[in-house]
Amino acid sequence: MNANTLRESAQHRRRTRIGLAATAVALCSLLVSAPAMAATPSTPVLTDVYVSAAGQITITWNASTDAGGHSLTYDVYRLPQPITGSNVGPLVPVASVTTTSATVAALSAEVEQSYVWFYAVRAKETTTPATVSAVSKTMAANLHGYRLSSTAVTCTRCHSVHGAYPDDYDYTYVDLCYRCHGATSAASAVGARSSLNVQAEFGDYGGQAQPGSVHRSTKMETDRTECDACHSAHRTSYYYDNNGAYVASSSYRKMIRVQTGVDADGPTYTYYSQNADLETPAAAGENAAFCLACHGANAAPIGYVGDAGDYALTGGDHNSAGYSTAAHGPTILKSNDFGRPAQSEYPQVQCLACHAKHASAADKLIAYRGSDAGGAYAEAGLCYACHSAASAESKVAAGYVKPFAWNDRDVQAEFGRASTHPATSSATGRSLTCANCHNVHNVAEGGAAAWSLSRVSTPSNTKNTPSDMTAFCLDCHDGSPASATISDTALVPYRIGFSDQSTAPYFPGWDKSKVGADASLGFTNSGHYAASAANGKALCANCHDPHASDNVRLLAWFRPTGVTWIGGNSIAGDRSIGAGRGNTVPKAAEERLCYNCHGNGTATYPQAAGAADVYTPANPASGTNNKHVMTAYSGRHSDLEGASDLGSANRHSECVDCHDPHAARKVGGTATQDTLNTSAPGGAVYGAWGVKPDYANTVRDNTTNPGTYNWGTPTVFSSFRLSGAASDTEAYLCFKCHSGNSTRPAGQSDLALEFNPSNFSVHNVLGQSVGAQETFTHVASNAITYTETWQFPSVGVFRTSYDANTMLTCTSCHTSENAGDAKGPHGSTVQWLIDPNYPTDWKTSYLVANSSDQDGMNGQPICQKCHDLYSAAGVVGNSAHARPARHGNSSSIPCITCHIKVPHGWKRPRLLGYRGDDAAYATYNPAGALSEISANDNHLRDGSGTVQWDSGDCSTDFGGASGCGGGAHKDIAIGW
Amino acid sequence: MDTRAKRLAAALIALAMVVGAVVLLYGRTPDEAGETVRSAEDRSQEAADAPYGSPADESGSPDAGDSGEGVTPVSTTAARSRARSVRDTPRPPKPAVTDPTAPADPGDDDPGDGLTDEEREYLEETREIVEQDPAALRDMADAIVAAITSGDDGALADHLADDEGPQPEYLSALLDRYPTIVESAPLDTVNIFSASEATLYFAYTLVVWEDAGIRSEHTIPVPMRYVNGEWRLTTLDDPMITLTFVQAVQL
Repeated sequence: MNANTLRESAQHRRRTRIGLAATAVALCSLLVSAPAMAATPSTPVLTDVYVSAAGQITITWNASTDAGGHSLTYDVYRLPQPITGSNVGPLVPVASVTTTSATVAALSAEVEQSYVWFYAVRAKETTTPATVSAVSKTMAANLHGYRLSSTAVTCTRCHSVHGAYPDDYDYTYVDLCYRCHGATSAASAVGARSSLNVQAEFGDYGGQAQPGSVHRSTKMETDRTECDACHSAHRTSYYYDNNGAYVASSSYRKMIRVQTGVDADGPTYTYYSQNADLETPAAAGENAAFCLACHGANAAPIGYVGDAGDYALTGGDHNSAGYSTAAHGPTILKSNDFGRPAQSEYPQVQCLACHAKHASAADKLIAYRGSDAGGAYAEAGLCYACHSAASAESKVAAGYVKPFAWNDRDVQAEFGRASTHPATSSATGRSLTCANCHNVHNVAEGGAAAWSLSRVSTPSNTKNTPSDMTAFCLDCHDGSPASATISDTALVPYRIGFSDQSTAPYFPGWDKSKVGADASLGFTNSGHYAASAANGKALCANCHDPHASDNVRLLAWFRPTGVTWIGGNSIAGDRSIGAGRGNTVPKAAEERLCYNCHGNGTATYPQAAGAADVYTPANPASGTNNKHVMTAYSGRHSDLEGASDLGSANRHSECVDCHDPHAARKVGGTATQDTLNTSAPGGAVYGAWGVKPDYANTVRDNTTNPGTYNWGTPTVFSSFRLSGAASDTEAYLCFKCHSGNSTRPAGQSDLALEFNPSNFSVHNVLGQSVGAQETFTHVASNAITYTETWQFPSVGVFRTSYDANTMLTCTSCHTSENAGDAKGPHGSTVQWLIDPNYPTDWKTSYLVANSSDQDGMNGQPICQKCHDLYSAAGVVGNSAHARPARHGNSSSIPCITCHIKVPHGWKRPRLLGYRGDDAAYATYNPAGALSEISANDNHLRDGSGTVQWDSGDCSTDFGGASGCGGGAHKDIAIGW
Repeated sequence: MDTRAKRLAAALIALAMVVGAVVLLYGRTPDEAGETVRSAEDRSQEAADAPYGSPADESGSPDAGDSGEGVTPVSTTAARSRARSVRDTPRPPKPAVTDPTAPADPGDDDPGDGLTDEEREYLEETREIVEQDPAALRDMADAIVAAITSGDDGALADHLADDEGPQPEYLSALLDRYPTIVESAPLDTVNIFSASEATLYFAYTLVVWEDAGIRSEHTIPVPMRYVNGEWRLTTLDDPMITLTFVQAVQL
């Protein structure tokens, strides 16, 4: 043959031939059954030759008769070619028995050549000299294909001469094949007459556990071409001519073929296993041409063996991106036949390196080197067979060594680390396999670069390649991971799913394309992504390892490209598997990961241009209670943590407790919200989780205030994700840890209580359109409920642009505004993380009235940021502050003589506290501190904008027993 | 002294202070007009405070209210000239013009509260107005709050005192003054103020409003006048109109 395509006759022509052959056999039989020559035993009638066990041949025949009545023995002969009277002479019997069957061990060459060798029997008298019969017909255990010798019994072993098939088998029916290649039991290692128990492979025994996948289409079953679709029964694995010469061109090792057409004579086929056929694709050494005939770009062949949808259901074209040049292509990954003796005699179907030819316990016919290992090679198990340091793989091109992975990574070991992408599929929940990210038929080696696009596929259709690595990640992390889809145009081999973390109140979610429903807060709009090209982008690849990490959530570090580094300092990061591995050392975990860009510009803590310096404000040289403690703890934060994990022994603050690096961004050029008159969070905390107190469900803890909710402590909190929506407030983020939502350390107050909008005085961090109140209903010392009006002065209270309704944020006061520092409450040189531009402790500041302190406060307390007690140059603006001589001008009469120590909010108006109040809030305690305010007094604004207060409105022990306002005022008649 | 007597005493004391302030206001130079009411004991105490503050400080730092010049109030409302001409019955007594240097002559029937007969009568009459039909007062307060809650400017206008004119700006501002009110409950306190020749009665309602997504509780005033035997909404609580506290009455 000089073409790949051989044509067989149409069925009716084959039947004609079969009929002729059967007729010939019948005539031969008549001859055999004719009376023997005198004194010559009759010729034995060979009834069967078959593989009875691996490497074992059983030959059976009918007994001969001997006219002389002598006892007979039977000599069994074996040759690669048909045995005849002409060539039997020199043969030495492989067995001599007196029974009518013999079982012999097959020669190794015979086994290697698929048991195509022939056997024959000759009867022999036991007399001397012995008279022998003629040699019987000859049979091979492998009966396929041989038809050139009239002495060989082949056709009739499958075909009936006169219409009825042997045992009523349809000659195309799989059961005919199973007569030899099955029909024993699923447990048998061999078939009834073959070394192959194919019936067991396909799970076709009754009651047999079904394989995970079989290579069989509905059309094959309907047309009864289960075997015929891929194999020709009329070829032989090894053809020896009558002279014993091996004829490779007539040999078809696995007898595989695919119907590629049909013409007037019937089907036309392409054969793929002609031994050493230099014109077949197999001649190139390794190929998948046989498989790609159906599973390649040309779907026509499958039309003859499969239903119309079968091509799609198998994933269509497996060669969509150029299989031959893929990392798993035939030039690198060799077939199972690679390196074996007489390799060229094998079809070298390279796909069989990873797929079973007939069936597999795994799905998708997955098997490794012909073994399905009971399904152990399914999904990642198949990949680990090679991509592991323990791999025994050897059938690869020169230069490739285990673990056959980029940067010599032991992929199997990777997926045993602390955090991993899942490597197995699941019907629900967490599910991902290697093949969801890597189309193993298409992806290339990818070179030395990390996160190479050429190594990955688009998870929502692995036939495609993503545009960039961010798109690659967001393809699943967009909240809609792909379900399993297998069609001719789309391939998602397994369902992709995330674990359900819905019970974790602060979990940032797997969806990185948006925050809640707000797509404008997706990663591609974040500050990390949107950084200008000049300053580089901080992408998925820079902070995560796609496979696994010893850190949580795949955290790793790899220096972004295109970044300008302050001072030229940066940390490269790496992904080696050695000690320097970037995701095992501290530089890739918690705050250290962030400091790789948000540092102070040193070699240890680099700073990328455009990234704010967080390290400096977060690590002030000295001071107490002046920083969040990112560096103090490790391993305490979990994105699955709940409120109880935020306090007590697990108290912590990591960057991600307040920031979502996938959503955070700058707003208006600053990272935090410093826009006037808003309580909304800044972009830097977008995506972070806070808690929203239920102020309508508060516990009233002070019965002297009849307001049900005044100074009420919220007890119910709901998790709340900051997105910049109208309902957001930055304070919700702070409440997560600094309220009754968590167990706070001693000395840390309940901010949700202090900022309760029902409080009679409160700094407006909750975005209230109505800020400070002017009318209060309270129970006075005489047990009567009074309603009083304390109007706000319109002068001498606020700096320009501020008023009683001005909205604030926590970072209005708790921030670092030093040039270059990241804004926000990371830390400060001033206690309680107060803006370092206001270094004077407000608890020591006092009222002054001089031209050098025209805001009326000594030093630079934080109060000055919004408050200005002057109404005009040199004049303290309202009567309560009108007398520095009485109310200040001395450190012994600080502001906290009358105002509480924690100026967030309070149960009395204007943050007025008594020295006898709760110690956490009580005013400055020496004799001058406020002890009582007159009740049932209205304080009204006059035409000049001031509000009148009299000395008799307050009571103190200032100046001795006579009190602030004198003896008459010490004991206020009706006190609040 | 029973509770009622205590209330009356407190109210009288307050009224006395108001009257005294008026006297002082009228009797001082314009520069001193903002000076707070201050008793003789206050002044002696100021002297006693000297070690804690120099006289220079005091002289250089007039009390609050002295200087409102050049300062923009937090909010302003258009003046309502018609409102200023309102005159109620009883009419607030005019401050007595007395010679502060003249010796006091309390007279035989003087109860020693420093009030004139006219002032005592005013206190009594305004109290009686409140107490004679508390339900009517509360009904009108509730109706006004209900109109604010529902944003019904028509209903609010219907409650407005006829002699103040339509005052659409005020009504609009009142409707916008508070966030969405979700609950309300009247309180028992009525504070009485005078504004020129008008008398204002402030009822109060404890409300829960929803502001920035948060419900919180606050007391809101309901300014009313008693006009021709009926309670009506008044616009005279304008920040630009100086109110003088008269007394508080508990319903």
